[in-house]
Parts: sequence; structure tokens; C-alpha cells
Amino acid sequence: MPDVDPRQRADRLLDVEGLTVTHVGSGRLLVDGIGFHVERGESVALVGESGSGKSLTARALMALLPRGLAARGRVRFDGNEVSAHGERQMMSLRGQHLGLLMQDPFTMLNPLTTAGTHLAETLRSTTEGASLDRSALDADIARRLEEVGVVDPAVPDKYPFELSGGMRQRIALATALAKDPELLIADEPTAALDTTTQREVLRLLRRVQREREMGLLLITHDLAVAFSLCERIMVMKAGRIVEVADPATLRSSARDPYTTRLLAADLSFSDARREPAARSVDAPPLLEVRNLSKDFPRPRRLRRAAAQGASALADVSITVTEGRSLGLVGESGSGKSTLARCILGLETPTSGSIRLDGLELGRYGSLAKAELRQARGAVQCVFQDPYSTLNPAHSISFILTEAIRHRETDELSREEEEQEVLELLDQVGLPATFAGRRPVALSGGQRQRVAIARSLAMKPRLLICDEALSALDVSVRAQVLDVLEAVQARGVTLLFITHDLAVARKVTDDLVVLYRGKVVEAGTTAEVLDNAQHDHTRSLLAAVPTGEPAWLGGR
Amino acid sequence: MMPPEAPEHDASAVGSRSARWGVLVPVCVAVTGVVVVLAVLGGWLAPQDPDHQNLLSPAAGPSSEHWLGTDDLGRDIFSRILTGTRSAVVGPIVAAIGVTIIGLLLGLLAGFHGGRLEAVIMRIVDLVYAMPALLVIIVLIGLFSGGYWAAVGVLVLLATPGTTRILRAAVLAQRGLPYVEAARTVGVSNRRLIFVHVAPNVLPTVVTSFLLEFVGALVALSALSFLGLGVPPGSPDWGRMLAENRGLLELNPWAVLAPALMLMVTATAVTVLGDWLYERFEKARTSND
Repeated sequence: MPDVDPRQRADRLLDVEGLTVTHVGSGRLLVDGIGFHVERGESVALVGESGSGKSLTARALMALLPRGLAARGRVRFDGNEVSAHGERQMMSLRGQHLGLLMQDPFTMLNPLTTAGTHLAETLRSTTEGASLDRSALDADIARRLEEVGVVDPAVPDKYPFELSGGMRQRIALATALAKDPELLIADEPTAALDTTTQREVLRLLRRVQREREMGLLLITHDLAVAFSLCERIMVMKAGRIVEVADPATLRSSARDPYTTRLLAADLSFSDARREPAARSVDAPPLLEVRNLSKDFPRPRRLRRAAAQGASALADVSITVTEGRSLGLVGESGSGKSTLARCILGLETPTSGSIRLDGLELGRYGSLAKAELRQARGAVQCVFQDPYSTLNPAHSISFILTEAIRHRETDELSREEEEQEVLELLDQVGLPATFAGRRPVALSGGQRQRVAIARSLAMKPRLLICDEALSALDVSVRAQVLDVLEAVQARGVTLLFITHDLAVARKVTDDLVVLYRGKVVEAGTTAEVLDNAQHDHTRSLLAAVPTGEPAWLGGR
Repeated sequence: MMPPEAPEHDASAVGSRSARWGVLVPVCVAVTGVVVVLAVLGGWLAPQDPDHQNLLSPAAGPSSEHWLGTDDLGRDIFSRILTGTRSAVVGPIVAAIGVTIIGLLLGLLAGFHGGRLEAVIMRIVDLVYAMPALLVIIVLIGLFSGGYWAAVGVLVLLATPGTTRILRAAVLAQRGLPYVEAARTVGVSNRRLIFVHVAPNVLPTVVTSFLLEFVGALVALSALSFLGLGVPPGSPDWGRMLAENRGLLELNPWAVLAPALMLMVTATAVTVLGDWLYERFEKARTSND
């Protein structure tokens, strides 16, 4: 940190020196003596992968560390030392001067309290708020909701479960701003939101921050989001800040190798598939879905509402040609996963047909045993959540061997099985020593590789990846993406379900856009992304973070 | 946001949690061990014939000859306690095994398959659950003219619903997880899914519920003996001794205190072990060592 004029230093909004967070039991350093500052009205991002200590830093500033962790260091807020403060002073600091916006807007709001009550509670706890009468309070609530773009007068009376994720995050933002803080700490504020909603919330965040001339400390794993929202970026790795720079400098000449790796891993949207598919669109189809519909039965009292609502899938038709990977994109709730589950036989479609490899899969239950085996072998799936996709009770080799045994009609010898387990691990880039381990000893990326290996053990022709990368850190995502590309090179066709258009462009040849259970656009990936016809495709495209301030509008 | 590898979940945090058990676990293991040994050997270890009456020294206090004194018929309390361990413990063990096996099977079937099968199983379970336990026991034992094993059988019938509900809930929590669906798409049969994939993941709950069922049955059977149901009158049994000797509280308090303490200590030790084992199993299931 360069020397600064002490007067300038005293004028800083937030000034942190030598902040450490230690795990009391083991003495392990989780945040290792970091120092940084936020000026008045400045927006600063703290960027890093999971486990880098960025969230712990935010929590340490708010004195909200989980039990068993202890923070030390000098924190000056508005020129005053706060690290010596007890819980009582900290409480007055939180809210009055520091606002906090967290990742999950659902768990952050009390489910038994309406949006208006949430705000009223916070407003009342201020000195001015306590003296307000009911109508003045209501007026203040309306004004504050308007600031975060909520104009619907019904919203204050709604409970969190009646609101969409984006709406909840707006309410949470209004609550965080209720005491007019000078610094807002936003911890992954959009990680739980759809990409289109993410952009709206980020836009709102920036507008509010500028209008109020409030300091903003944004904590995120997404470099592009940080670049477009913040003036200064701090890159954090293993509890240390490894680099501080403005977005333009960081992008053009990052000094730290870790930053360079992060930047490289963060896919540029223009990256197309490295080896375009050899087969043409006219080759015979591997998977043909025709007029597929799926309605979910609802409890009787909700039937009437269901009659008006859309079904999960309505008259969907897609074709996957062998050797040409197909991307399936759309917002959450668009029916992508339902379609995958119908193909896998985990859901029974209401109507329509699914033909895979000459088999009719619309009714899995009525397939003969041999046909069922053929179907299971032909299509496999990698699921989203790496932490629950493997049975914690069994070893990796048990999991892989089970798949091998279900593929083979004849029994293999033990040596042959062991040999194949090692080959499978090798294919996904894991060392042989992993065979004896249990899933808990593996990181998210390693688990996802094992899940891919398990699918490959069935020697499938079609591999469905249902948001298989979205729970992973960017650098890990790049590695798993490499594994998937190697899988493609071995002749396996991918049906790639994602909300991330950059990833879709990188691994798919064709693209289908789903919106509310219907196919709204289909074609080759390049056609769809470069020349989008449907409004929904365009809004998905606009939602991809570019890393430019212009993405959020304005300067 | 805490990543799953976050520090609060790591091994050292669990280590500090184990520390809070302190000496409690060794003590409880020792107590349980002694009770098991007594259940097997009690009759042989007894210094005197538990049924030998010495009407010349009724309700005497502790002495070098009778460590815990005698009851109103002059029988040696210490020998009766040792000999009574078997009837106090064996019935509850059998009851707990029965309840756990039946409860696990029903819980797995209901939780895993869902639908009509679950509805039928759970409604029957609710029906039994709703019966007033003590009344049913008294009526049934009266009807079948008593007996220790009849009491054990009725206990199994009445305790199974609770265990079924707990284990069904544990199975339900596992059923929707992607690892089950992933195994299904590989082609794993339902039976294998239930017994090889889901069952090991509910094992911690099974072990704990087994030990808690044992404690419940221990107390329930003793209560029945106290009421005069179950073991025949005069036989050395902790619950029976409590009932028969409560008039001697002033003459020889040990005649009442000893069986009561034995029940309390056994029940407490096994309950603590159940909690401790649950933590251990849960840790073993989700960690690599």
C-alpha cells in the first residue's frame, strides 16, 4: 500500500489495516492481514473464488462472523476507530452507517413478515422513524420502495414467498438503505438471481449508489460484474489481497498470475467451439422430441390457478443430431430441466413422443428390460449440484464400478473392473488415488468430474449436462469445460442445458431457446446468438455481463 | 455465502465439538458394559441365592453379609439386583431390535416408494400411534393372561409407529437427492437403490433410534412390572422390586433405591451413547477418515 497523506487518510470512509480472521480452534488464518480502503461515494469490488476469504472480510467488518472465528485488526470508519467497539456500538454502526445486502434474499427476509413491515421495523428503529405516525411511515415506505423501482402498491402487503427473487432483493436493498447508510456492503447480491434479473438489480444498485453518493463494497466471484459496476477492483486469493487496480488496468495488464488466470478462465463471449462439428445438420437424428408437453398435477385448492398458468413444457419439439451438440438455454422456470428429466425417464411426459436411438422413451415404465438397458446406456446425465450428486456413503470406485456393472450384460472380472475405473478417472483428469476416496474428500470440481466419469461408464451416445458448470468457480469451470470438450471429441453428443450463453457458445453447435415451456428460437448457435429474432433471446443476450460500465447503462 | 469447504465445517471444528463429551463417553461405555456383563452372568455372580428367604433378618440395612441389606422376606437385595439385570435388559433389547427392523423396513418402503403404499402404511401407523399405550397394554396383557414376552410383543407393536415415522422422514430427505436419481439413470434397481444407496445414509438415525427405543422399552417394561404386569410376582426384577419394597423405605432404603438407581443409570448411559454414536456416524458418513 503506497504512503498516503494522513489527512487524506482520515477523510476516508472506510479504512482497514491488518485485518485477520482466524479459526479459533485450529489457529488457521482465513483472512491474512489485509488492508484496503473505500472513499466516500466510491464503489470497490472484492473479487475472489470460494474460500478466498472475501465473504469473511465483509462479515468481519460488520462484526457478524460465524461462531468459532475471531477477527483482529484496525478498522476506521469515517475517521473513527471501530475495531475497539463492543457489540452495542457495533449495532449502532450497522444500519446507521453500514448497510448489508446478502446473497439469498429469501433467507434474509423473515418469511412471516410482509415486505412493508420489514421496512417499517427498520425505519422505526431510527430516531426520526420512531416519531413518525402511521401515514407518514407509509409514505416513507412508499418513497423508499419507489427508489428501488417498486411502484406496485400491493407489494408492501406481500410476504417474501409471494415475491420473485428479483423483487425480494429489491426489498432487501430498500431495507439495507432504510437508515441511509454511508457504506453499503453487498455480498454476492445477484448470485441467486437469473441473468436478466441480475442486470436489473445491478443497474439499480449503481443508480442508488450514485444518487446517494454512497460508498459501495461489492463482494463477488464474477469479474465481469465487478468490472461493470466498480471503479476499483481488489483481487483476493487465499486470504490475501493480491492485486488492486481499476478495471481497465486490470484487464489490459494484470500483474498477479492469479488475476491473469481468473481473467483467462472468465470466458469471453466471443469464444466459439474450438472444433466445430463435422456432421452436417442433415445427418440422421439421435434424439427426436416431438410435441412434448408436461403438466404437473397441483393440489386441488390450487387447481384453478393452475388452469390459467402455463405448464412446465408445452408442445416442445427438438432434434439432436449425432455429433452435433445442442444447447438448451432459458431462464430458470423455462422448462429446461423438466425436458431433461423427461428424456432421462425421471418424469413421465403428459403427451408427446421422445425417440432416442430408435426407442420410444415417452413411457419409460412400459419398456422391456432389454430396451430399458439400451435406453439407460444411450443417454446419461450430469446434474447441477456437485455436492449431492454422489452418494456420500460410498467410495468413488464403488460408484464407478456400479455403473460399469449395470452397463455390461456379462460379468467382468475384478481386474477388468478396476482397470476400467482407472481409465475413467484418467479420462476426466483425476489421478488413480481418487478411486479409494469418498466424495466428501473431493472439491466441487472433482466431484463433478467423478459424476462425468460415472456417466461415461455407461458409454452413452448422448450426455445431458443440466447446469453442470453453474455451481463451480470460474477457474474450475474452465477445467471441467475442457473435460467436456474431450468427451465431445470422443464422439459423445452433448445436450447442454445452461443459462450461461458464453458457455453455450463455447460447447454447442446448435441452440434452442426455451421460454415459459415453449421453444421460441432454434438454429445453429452462431445464428441464434449473432442474429437473435425473439425478444426473449435478445434479453438473454443483453444480460450477459460485458465487463463494461455501459452494460449497466450510463457512463 | 459460505462455500461447503468453509472453515466452520472442517475437521478441527468437529474436534472441538467432540471435546465437549469429555469423560462422559468412557463412563457411559463402562456402565453399559457392566450392565451387559450382568445381564449375561448376573445369576452366577450373585453371592447368594436371590430367592433364599431368611425370615430372621427381614428388612435389614446393609451389612457385611448383605451389602445392600435385605427385603421384608430377608432376601439379599444385592443378589436380586444382579440376577434381575437379565429380565430388565433382555426384553428391551429384543423389543428395540424388533421395532428397529420393522420400523426401518416400513420407513424405507413408505419413504422410498411413496404413493398408495406410503398412504396405507402411514395411515396404519397413525392408527396405532393414536392408541392410548398404557390402556392397550393393560387390556392386551390381561386378555392374553400376561407373561413377560407378551409384554415385549405389545411394546413392539406400540413403539413401531414412532420409529417408522422418524425413519420415513430420514428416507424422504435422501430420496430426492441427485445421487439417487443419478443411480436410477444408470439403471440401478429399486431394491438396490433402497438397500445399497439410501439405507447407509440413514444408518446414523437407525442406530440412535435403536438405542432410544431400548431406553423407552427398559422404562416401559419396568413400569409394567411395577404395575404387576409382565414378570410373575416374586421374581427378581427391578421394576417389581420397586413396587414390592416401597413399604421398606424407612427400614432399608436400599431395597428401593438400588433398583431405581440401576434403571436410571442404565437409561442415562444408553441415551448418552446414542447421541454420541449419532455424531460419530454422521461424521464418518461425511468425512474421509
